[in-house]
Amino acid sequence: MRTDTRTTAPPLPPPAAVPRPRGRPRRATRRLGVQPLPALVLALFLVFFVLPALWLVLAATKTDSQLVHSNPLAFGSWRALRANWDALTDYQDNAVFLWLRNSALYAFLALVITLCVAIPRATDWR
Amino acid sequence: MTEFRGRHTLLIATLVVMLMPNATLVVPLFLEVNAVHLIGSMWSIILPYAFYPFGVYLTYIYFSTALPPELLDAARLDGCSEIGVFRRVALPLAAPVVALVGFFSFVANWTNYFLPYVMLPDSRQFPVQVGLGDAAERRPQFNPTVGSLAVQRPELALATLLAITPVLVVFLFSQRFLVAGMLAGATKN
Repeated sequence: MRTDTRTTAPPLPPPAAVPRPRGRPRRATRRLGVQPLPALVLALFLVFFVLPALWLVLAATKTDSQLVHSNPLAFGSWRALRANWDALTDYQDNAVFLWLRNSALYAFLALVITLCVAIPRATDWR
Repeated sequence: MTEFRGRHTLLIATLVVMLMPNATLVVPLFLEVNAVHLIGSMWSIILPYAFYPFGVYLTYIYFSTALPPELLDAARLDGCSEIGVFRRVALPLAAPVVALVGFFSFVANWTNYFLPYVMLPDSRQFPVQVGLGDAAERRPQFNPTVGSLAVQRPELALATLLAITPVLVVFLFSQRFLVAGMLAGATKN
């Protein structure tokens, strides 16, 4: 659910009793340029959250020696990704998919019981 | 709806459990599950996490602030049974909080590591988080004797990506419910 802040609804006519504020309207000052402090904070958060995820994605495309020796944020190769995938699915006879299935089963069953317990029990307390 | 003795005590107990870190409860839970001989079965990790105190608290807050009691009284006056009041009036209005509790519970279960690590001895029963930890110990750099069972580090990165994808998908699909649910009980008039 995105809210586009650039397009706004047509402004309502101002009530007659309230005089229009003088000078430049607020929107113009907001649009003038990028405010430095919020931009800096946003950039820091972006680095903090996105960089590790990006590293993880890129690490999956490398061979083991590339992971250690090449640039941390360089792309490896599709061939290495393919080889990693094959090795991973071979590992202990498809253990990864078995584990994923176990996770899904446990989480789903617990979720069903949670909802059956939490929702009616909470209504009792009102 | 139903008044019973000790319900306030029950609510306080729920809140106290909610305040405790999960890891402190693992050993007591192990002793309890061991007493009923469920160690090694999948119920040993489903049942402890099925009774999710944060979910109870969240729905309690929602129902006590966002749902006017007059609405339920009106339904009762019109001849609804208690179950009917819950199913026809309260539950449809609680859709955002159901989605919210569902999402938090799913994420808490999916990312849970310590409890299944303690409870499940067989590697064929591992959830993916414990399996990842198990595989991480088979790096040749960490354990030079693994031989043919060795796992390289990029494969671990790929397995991690696989393990986080379901949470990402669930989040993307439940996003609009989550945003609606976050505002649950935000205003009171």
